[in-house]
Amino acid sequence: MFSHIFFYQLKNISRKFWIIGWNLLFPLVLATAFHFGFGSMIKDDPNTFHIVPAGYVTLGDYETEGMQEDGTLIHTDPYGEMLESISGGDEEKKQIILLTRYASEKEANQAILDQEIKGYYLNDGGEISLKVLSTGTDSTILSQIMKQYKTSRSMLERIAKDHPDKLSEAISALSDQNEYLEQHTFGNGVSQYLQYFFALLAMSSLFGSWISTEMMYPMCANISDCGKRFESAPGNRIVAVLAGTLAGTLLQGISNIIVVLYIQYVLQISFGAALVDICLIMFLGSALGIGFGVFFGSVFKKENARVMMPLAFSMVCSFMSGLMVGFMKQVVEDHVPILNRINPASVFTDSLYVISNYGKTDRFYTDVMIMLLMIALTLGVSACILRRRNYASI
Amino acid sequence: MPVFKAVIKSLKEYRSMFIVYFMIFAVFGPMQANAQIGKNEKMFSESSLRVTVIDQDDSELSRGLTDYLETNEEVEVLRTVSDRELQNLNDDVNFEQKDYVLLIDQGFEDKLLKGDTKDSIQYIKNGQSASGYLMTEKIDTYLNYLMVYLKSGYDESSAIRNTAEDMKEADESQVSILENPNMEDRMSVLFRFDAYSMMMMLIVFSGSLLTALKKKDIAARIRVGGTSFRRRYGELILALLTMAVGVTVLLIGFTVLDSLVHGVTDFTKLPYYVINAFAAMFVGIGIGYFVSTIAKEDTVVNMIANMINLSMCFLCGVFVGLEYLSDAVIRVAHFMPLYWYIMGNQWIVSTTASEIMSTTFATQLGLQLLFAAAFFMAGLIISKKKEVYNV
Repeated sequence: MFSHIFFYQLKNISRKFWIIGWNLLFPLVLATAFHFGFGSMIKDDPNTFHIVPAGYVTLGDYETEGMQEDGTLIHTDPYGEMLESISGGDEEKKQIILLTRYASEKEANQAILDQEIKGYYLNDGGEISLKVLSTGTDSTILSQIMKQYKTSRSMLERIAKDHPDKLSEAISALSDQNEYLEQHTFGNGVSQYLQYFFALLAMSSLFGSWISTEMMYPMCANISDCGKRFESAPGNRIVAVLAGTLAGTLLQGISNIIVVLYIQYVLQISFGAALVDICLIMFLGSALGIGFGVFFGSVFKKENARVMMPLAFSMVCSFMSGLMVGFMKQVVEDHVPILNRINPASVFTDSLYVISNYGKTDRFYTDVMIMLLMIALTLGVSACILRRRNYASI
Repeated sequence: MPVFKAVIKSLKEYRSMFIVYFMIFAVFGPMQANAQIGKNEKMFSESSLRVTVIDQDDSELSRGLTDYLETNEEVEVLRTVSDRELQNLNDDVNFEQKDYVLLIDQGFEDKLLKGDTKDSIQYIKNGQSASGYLMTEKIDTYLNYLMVYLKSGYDESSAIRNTAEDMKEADESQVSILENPNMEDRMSVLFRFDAYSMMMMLIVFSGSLLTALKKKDIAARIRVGGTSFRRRYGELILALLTMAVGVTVLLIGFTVLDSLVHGVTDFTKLPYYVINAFAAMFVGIGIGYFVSTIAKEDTVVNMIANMINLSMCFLCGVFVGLEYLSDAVIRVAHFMPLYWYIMGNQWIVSTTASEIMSTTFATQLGLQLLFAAAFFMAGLIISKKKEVYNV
């Protein structure tokens, strides 16, 4: 009986066009949209440090440093020279800014509004100030450059006063900018934008709930005539539900794997883990979606609810796992971590994230156990609900 | 008006869907707005980064460094962390919940005084992020200044104190913000995000309602009914428009309420946002009608609506800003109606209120209405072909 129902459910489900559409076509279309939308950001993060375009305007006389033999003052622009030096960059020094000189404040203001520069320095007879368009990282970098210059000056003035004999050593030490920090390498450094693809796979897996609600339709006497015949029959209902569940899981798993292969080999986006492991997680996710669908199918009687609940459930869980706002899962983890443990989409995406970033750690196995527990729970509760139904064979 | 009443009553079946999509907008829209809009743009303040310092050395120098960071950043100091907690911190940095993690190992002070800090002070940052670079530069600069003082004969306490004083003096640097009245504000972010929920609701409601009316039994009963063709379809169109206007007004109302709660007082540009939203409303109805001609069930309507809307939202700059999309994607996006809605939004943001009504804005509105008409015509053609071929 098991194998009979299994094969016939496979045929039954695969003939429903809209299920194939939802569970296979939709994730493929969305993955393609993701790829075109921000696939490049996985390879080239937009938050990467970029050289900051800056302007420089001088007003009035430069600073004076001494006098020439003929009595004319020697004007220097140490700040301008410092900016030129960091604007150039070489093998030893990284280029931080790209400097453009402007003849007037008006020109520089217009350049900011036209977004040609992020801000400009104004040197008014030695008094340095900075004008920017808004607060932000680039403005802070420009502000830091100005602060470093002023701090260096204060420092050298203090050392010249307290320890004049150490001044030349201090100047030499100041020009040797050492790097004291090292990066702590942690994991594979998977891009945060890959989270969107993980959330897409989670949504696709949870869409498997529609397969099982559809499968439950001809098994429930209060919904369909076929269900009346089914529940009146003497056959073992649990075996029938299990066979259908397995058929649904197989089909959903195959759909998911097709999507994974499409993302990995057609869109050329690597998941950062062995394909076999990813495929096994896909089957687990599929079983999760099917399990919830069986649960909804046994609990809800109205047709509308059987259509809307899986959709609403899948969408809300997927959004909470980062489908629209990539960092959502981490926000939930920081504030209400228990939600991430009971949200099947979050557990699923976390397992993919962990195996991609850190490998098979305790956290990964915890996620797998939670998913198995959820599958067992949903099927168990559904079995209890369905077992209680009895119809006389009249 | 029996047809009008029947259609409006049928909407009750979709209230759970309405709640879901409205809540998505109500929760995620303000979140996006909070993330994207600066708090006080009138005065410059340096970006305050969220830094976690794991100070296992707890020496005078490590505390001095932490105190320096606390003057400008949001610093959380920990003494020890487990591997799991360190992983969580790494995830926080990866998903931009924190900007930087600094690990100061035991023995850091001794190593620094000897001039070799290898393996004693490390950081975790997000890839090549600019904020991570900024933080690393700040810390390296601070340590460099500290070392200069130490090498110039100052003791540790004096070196820490002098460095802090020099940097505080430099903090009084003059940085000002250029006045720019045309910056993206909270309302513009909400109206941008609104596109997803509004389009989903309009496509699904109109598509499902029209699909339901085409079911064999219902269509047959309608055909033999006494209402004239003109009255029947007139009431249907009126019902759809009432539904669409209701949905659009509700979402606009939430946007205005949220803006008021967050202290927005300037609503000069609101009428233009509303006009843009109503143009997009017709697009939603048009796509809904088109979908109803190819779908026979609610589930298929939902499927197609999700496919079209989600894809458009990602490609047209609703979820991911247009500035992040490649030129090729933007060229393709020109053929999607939501792109013109977003462009309309951007035009309103970047233009002074008195200059918004122009050829550019009229073109953006007109293109949305053209798309709506195109979808409607496509639907009519499919309906006609189906009748001819009896499909």
